[in-house]
Amino acid sequence: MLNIIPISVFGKKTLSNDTLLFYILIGLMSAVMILKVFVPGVQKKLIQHFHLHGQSFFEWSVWHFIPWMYNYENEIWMSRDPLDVSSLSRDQIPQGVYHEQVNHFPLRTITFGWHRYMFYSPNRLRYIYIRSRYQSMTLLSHYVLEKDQRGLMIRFQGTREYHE
Amino acid sequence: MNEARENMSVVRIAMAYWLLGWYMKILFFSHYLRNYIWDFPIRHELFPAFFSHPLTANLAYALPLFFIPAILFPAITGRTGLLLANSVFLICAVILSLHSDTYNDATFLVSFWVALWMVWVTLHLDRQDENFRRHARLLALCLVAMIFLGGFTGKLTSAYWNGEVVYHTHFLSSPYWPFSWLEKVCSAEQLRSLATIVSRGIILMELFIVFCPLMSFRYVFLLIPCLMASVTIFNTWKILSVMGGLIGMLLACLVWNEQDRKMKSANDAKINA
Repeated sequence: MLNIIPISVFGKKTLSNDTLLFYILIGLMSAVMILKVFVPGVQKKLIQHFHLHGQSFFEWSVWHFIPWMYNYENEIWMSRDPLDVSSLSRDQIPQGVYHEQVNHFPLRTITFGWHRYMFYSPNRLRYIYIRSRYQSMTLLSHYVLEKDQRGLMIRFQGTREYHE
Repeated sequence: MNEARENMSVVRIAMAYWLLGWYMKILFFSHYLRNYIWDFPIRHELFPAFFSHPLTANLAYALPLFFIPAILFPAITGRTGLLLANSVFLICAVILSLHSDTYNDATFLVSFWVALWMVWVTLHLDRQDENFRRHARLLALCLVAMIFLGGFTGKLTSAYWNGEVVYHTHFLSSPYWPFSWLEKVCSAEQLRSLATIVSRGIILMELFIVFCPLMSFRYVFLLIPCLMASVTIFNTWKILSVMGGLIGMLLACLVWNEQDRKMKSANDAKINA
């Protein structure tokens, strides 16, 4: 890994294998982020990553190391009863429904903070809808918060994709 | 061995700032990890048991503290101690980046990339050539550019360009200064316009930082940290948990800048003699 190999990149200089690999890794990450701007397939994959979708945890974790801070327009709605997804709106929030605009990973609204205890109350908000929009791509995912003997589980119910 | 000592200074400075960023939100995490996630567990189907268990998150968060002696006493711990410490930093950053209770915090993602750079530098600690110093600094800049490329590309959508997202996430009902103050003194229209200006400013600043690998080494290792520190004005001090490691990595590179300057002066003196 530390052997010097005769690769000339900047004139007569040489790069060690690990240095070259480091540059390649950065290049690959950057390429994916640039593709995100232009390729709907990549946009969908990365927004699915934000919604904690993945064929497997390993696949999700690979995408997780591509920088994602303050990406997309993300919103979350939470209610005690199921909502009509076609009527989800930021401007008209029905009584008893919680809505928030989130900088990244909308589901963290449930887990990351002091308010976790609220989801353990009998009258808790159970139905979760998250929507992320980027250019013409919109992904809406639906979750339910279920109680079992180990606590609460965020269980995926379905997803819809829209294009504008 | 003077050059190796310079390399060691770079690594130690970077590690100190890494730890500063990692523990910047210790008041929140000490309560959240020690109490909340145990008392009110919330799981997600995606995460396996290891990356859902509260003990995993607690151990990964606390472990870097035990490697502070490697930074404070390098003469005793040596290169092996530094390499072990940075490897542990890297592994802890991977764990918390992927844990169900902490995956959303960018602190751990950025800590991962900075720790990777610190491991790489430590592996080359004995290198005394100018080529190594140049690539080390360039890699640091490329990492910063890559991270800000993520932020920049993710904001290339109308809701960010017209300020809609920033208005709702930062300007409305924010408890933090200056947003809380602005909401009191500005009308709704003024606030909305300000959000658009700030949002576009952030996008353009991120684009500027993306080009930092092309900038002169003489200025970039001070300029970019200043820009990153200024982001706290438009966010909270907690953003330093994300920026701390990056700022430290760049400031540490100033040691190599100074080393190059001294070597050039010495060479010039020899030529003139």
